[in-house]
Amino acid sequence: MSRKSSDRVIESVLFVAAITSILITVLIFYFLIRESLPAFRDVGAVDLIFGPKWHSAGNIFGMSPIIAGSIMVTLLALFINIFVGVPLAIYLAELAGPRSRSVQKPAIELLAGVPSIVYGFLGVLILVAYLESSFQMMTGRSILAGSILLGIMFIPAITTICEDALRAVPKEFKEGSLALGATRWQTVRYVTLPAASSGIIAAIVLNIGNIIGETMAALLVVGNLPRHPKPIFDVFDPGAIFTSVIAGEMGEVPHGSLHYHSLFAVGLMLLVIVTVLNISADLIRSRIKKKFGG
Amino acid sequence: MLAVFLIAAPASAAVTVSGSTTVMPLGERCAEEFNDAQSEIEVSVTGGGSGVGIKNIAEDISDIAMASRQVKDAEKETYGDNFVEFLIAYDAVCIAVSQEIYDAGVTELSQDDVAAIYNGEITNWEDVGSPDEEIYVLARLPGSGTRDTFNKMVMGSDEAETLGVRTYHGSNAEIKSAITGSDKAIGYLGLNYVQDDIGVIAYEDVEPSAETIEDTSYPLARALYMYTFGEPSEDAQAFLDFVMSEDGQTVAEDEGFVPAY
Repeated sequence: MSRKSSDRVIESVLFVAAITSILITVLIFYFLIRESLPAFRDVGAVDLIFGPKWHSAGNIFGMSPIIAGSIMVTLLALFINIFVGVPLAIYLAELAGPRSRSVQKPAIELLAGVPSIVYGFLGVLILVAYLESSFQMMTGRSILAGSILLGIMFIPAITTICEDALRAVPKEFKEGSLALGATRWQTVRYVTLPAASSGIIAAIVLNIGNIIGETMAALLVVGNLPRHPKPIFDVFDPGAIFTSVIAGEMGEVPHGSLHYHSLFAVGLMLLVIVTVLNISADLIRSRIKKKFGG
Repeated sequence: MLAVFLIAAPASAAVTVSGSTTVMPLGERCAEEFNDAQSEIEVSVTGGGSGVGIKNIAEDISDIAMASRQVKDAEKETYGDNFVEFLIAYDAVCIAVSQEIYDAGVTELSQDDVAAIYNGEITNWEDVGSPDEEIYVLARLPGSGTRDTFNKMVMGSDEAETLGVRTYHGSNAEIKSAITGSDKAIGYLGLNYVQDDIGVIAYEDVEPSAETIEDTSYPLARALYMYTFGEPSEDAQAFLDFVMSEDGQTVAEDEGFVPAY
């Protein structure tokens, strides 16, 4: 085979691989839409998405408790996530010496490799019991428990991307700042962080997608109660999230029933949210990049 | 590699079984013993849930479905009414409370009490003869056969809303660990998951046991089924015969169910 034709073969193989991933995405959307259409038709799009009650055994499908639960879990988890993850990334990228790095880096990678069911297991055994006894809760299974667990779970994800973003900031920026007499903190605060902000924001937005889509661990600790807490922002109450509803109810559902199609509608909702997040992460990144030239 | 599979495949006919996770331990043990006893037919068992099992036989993905409930009308509408039903064992839904509550004196509850607790009308153990303590009510997620049985027989309808429930769980094992992990919980679970560390209460004055299920005095008993879509093939029939035979029913008893034959 000549070099040229072998080139062409490799090119076409790569092209097929690229097309495949797009095709799979399109197919996923197609099937989710096809399977959830009957639910939108029978229940009505507005009632299905904003209905106040999800009582699937009684054929009442309103997603608002699930959406509210997902939003609460995600926001609270993200808060914990950013609160620990971003400073950790700054420490690793800017302050840690080689010795401390050589311990921390593998430790974080190890944390990322822990399967979610293990987190769930520890969540049930330790976190839930701890919350119960320290807050006098009837049960520790709650929106709060889900948030803490998911927040911790995705620390490695946010730290790794943020650290990469911080490291990508050209050395000259920092050296320039230090040469002007700025302290280390001033340099981090006014030079490195703004220059890396596109990567950090992208990491945060992508992590929202991670958190909202995590299933196994959340299913075990959120309580799976598809009802609005009273008051509505009470994070000590059990709640339900997109993934816990799908995973919990899909196994035994009669196929082809309204319940079945409604679960697909929940899945479609989740996919749409995650897709919007991913696209906006890209947009934000490119916009900030233009601004800072990083 | 491929050749090995091609030669190996026809040596034994394959029968695939899928469905309810409640029935699965029974299906698996039966398959093990059945496969050991002969070499013509190889039975393999997977879970998925009753709904998945029923879908699988209707779409010819597997040969036999395990189900902890009967085929629903919605399923008959979707797939046509060709389901053939085999009763394989009985199970009971047991109502259990945390050991502390049991020790404090709650050893039996009437249907009205249980229904009131699950409806959210009774929210304190005080009202049913135990110290002042809020009741932590546990239930299974929709779709569970155990949940359907409980709601139908205790709450009056499998569409009951059970507003008293605090948390929903995906499996019997989760319910069990939530009851043992709390000191004020009530929940329901299959007979085969009951062990010493939780307080199983008498329901309507009858304690669940093999005897009370067999003589039908325990009200919350339910039947477990296997289904085929259309008449079973010869191989599937052989396995079903085994499950319903004396050996198969002994396995059912070992697994904590009550034999049907």
